Amino acid sequence: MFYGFSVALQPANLLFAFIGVFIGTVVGVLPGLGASGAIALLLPVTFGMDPVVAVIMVAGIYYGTMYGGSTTSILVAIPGEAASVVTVIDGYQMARKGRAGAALGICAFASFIAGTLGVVFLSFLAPLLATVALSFGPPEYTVLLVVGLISASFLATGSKLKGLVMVVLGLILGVVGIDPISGTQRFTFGTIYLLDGFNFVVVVMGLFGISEVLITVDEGAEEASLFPTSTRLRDLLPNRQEWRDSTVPILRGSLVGFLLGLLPGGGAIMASFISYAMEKKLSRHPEKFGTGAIEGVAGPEAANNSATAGAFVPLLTLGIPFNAVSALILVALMIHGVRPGPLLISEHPEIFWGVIASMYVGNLMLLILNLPLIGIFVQLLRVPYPILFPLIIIVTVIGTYSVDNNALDVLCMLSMGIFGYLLRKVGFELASLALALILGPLLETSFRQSLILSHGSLSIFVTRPVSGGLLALFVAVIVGWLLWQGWSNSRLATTRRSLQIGP
Amino acid sequence: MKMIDVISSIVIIGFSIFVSLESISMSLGTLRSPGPGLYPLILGLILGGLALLLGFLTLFQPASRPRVRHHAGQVWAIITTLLAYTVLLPSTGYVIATLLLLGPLFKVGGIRSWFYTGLLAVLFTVATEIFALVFRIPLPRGTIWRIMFPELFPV
Repeated sequence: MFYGFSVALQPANLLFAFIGVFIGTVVGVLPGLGASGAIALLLPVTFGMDPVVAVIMVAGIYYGTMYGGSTTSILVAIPGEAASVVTVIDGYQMARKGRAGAALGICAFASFIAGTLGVVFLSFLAPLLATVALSFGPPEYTVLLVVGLISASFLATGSKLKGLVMVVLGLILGVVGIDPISGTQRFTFGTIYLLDGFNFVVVVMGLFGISEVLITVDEGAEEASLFPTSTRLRDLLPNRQEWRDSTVPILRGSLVGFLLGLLPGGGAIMASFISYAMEKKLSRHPEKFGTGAIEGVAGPEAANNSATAGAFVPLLTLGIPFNAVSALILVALMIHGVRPGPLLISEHPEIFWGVIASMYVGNLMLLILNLPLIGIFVQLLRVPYPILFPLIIIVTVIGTYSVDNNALDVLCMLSMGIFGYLLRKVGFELASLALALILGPLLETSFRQSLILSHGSLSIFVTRPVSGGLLALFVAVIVGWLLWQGWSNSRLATTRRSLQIGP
Repeated sequence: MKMIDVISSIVIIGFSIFVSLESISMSLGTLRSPGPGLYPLILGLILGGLALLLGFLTLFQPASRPRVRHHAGQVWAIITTLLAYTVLLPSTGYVIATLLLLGPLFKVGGIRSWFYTGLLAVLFTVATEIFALVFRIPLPRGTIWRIMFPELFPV
């Protein structure tokens, strides 16, 4: 590790770590641009660089986007990244209460602490955890995703049943397009546009960005300008109570995020909403979630940042990328003649330990870079809403158009915005739908692969040790929760009866 | 609000029936070799069941306070403006369509002065155009632009 720091702290490497983190933060803030797109665009720039420098910069972009995505989630309820969808729920409510600075501050600190812990876990546990990650097959994935999506319904502050409806609706929207196994068109109605299914960025910008504008205008755009804002330093950062409330969620989120980041696909996304559901379950005041509970921001932010460290485990130790960004980092390494895998530590220790140390340095840079920006970001809320909302609409239009340079995407975004507005008017919440939309295709592929593997037997989900264990754990948690609810309610009823009995 | 909940349940049940019927029209396959229609059929049936349960439970719940609508007219004005924008965007291009969009949006938001409305519309359009240029986002130029400056759009 000391060798890694000796590499990471070289001036050139520090500079490129800063550039990567800065670009990543900007990319994360801007809706429509994602880490994958930014890295793909900048990959040619790294051709002439030293491999250590190239990977350090690219890794900086990755975790910079994780932090940047939460900024727009908190300020204007538009998630800049898929993993920031959950941050909208309580982060935006904190902003409405005048605690935008505290929310942004806790995101910065949670990202730093979680990133640091993730690096520690990575340093000591990488080879062991890589083996565990490889034991996850389609049945394990199916069970994990089902458990995760049911947990996602608990993101809803209102009716959990409505939350489940939104999850299933999101899964159905994820079916639109070409079936990945048979190639059959499903729910495309003969249109070319829907052959690729719904683009997540387009849907999210409509569901969250446009619908939020419509809801706010419906409730009175001029009243929306009265978000209380303060520029005093102590109001820009979390206070002592908020720190106390956030500490344990950050630690839990870091662990959950790192473990889920090991898994292929939507590790960071799943990590953020499982962390949220967990914090809501464990909180003494679950009713506060959805109204601006800082635990609902701290935990998921820690989880999604720690998951980026987890995603490096299979990449560096096995040479297997488990998501699009890791695949691009693998490409960056291979371009420079470096093949990640079990021999990376022995053949290129400067790359392995240099990348790990640079992640720590990069997280520190994120904190130093973004803390002063909090005051600037919070000023955005002082802009009167009648002036702000057209700008939000235009930025979402640009972000949507930038996805595929297709005007039909703008129409799709608008349609989703109207759809989201109508759903919210009748009391449905959108976070579960968005998450199910991302994870639905992965769930279907895993489910069908599992059935093919088992020759049609559903018992595969129970008989395999990992999936069976996950199912048993989930059932135990649900039963335990139901029993606890029953016991709490009966105690409450008993207390009420005893209070009515007088001397 | 209770009536709205019942209506939304009915709509969702209708949607789930549609999804289920469409799924059946695709190949369901077997459990051993699942076809493209199996998974959406399962989802459609689950959605229908949940919506039925939701509607049933709503009947036994007290009516909640209706959400007070203040400015529904402004909402539909924004929606109409945005629909017109998506129609105009490919033909007129980003700059003209955005200028035409922002004026009504500022008016809906409550800005009374035409001068400030026009000024803000121009400022926002220019600022976002520069932003798109810096980040190399190729915004639509529109048919009019292509006719006026064909050299910028080589075939």
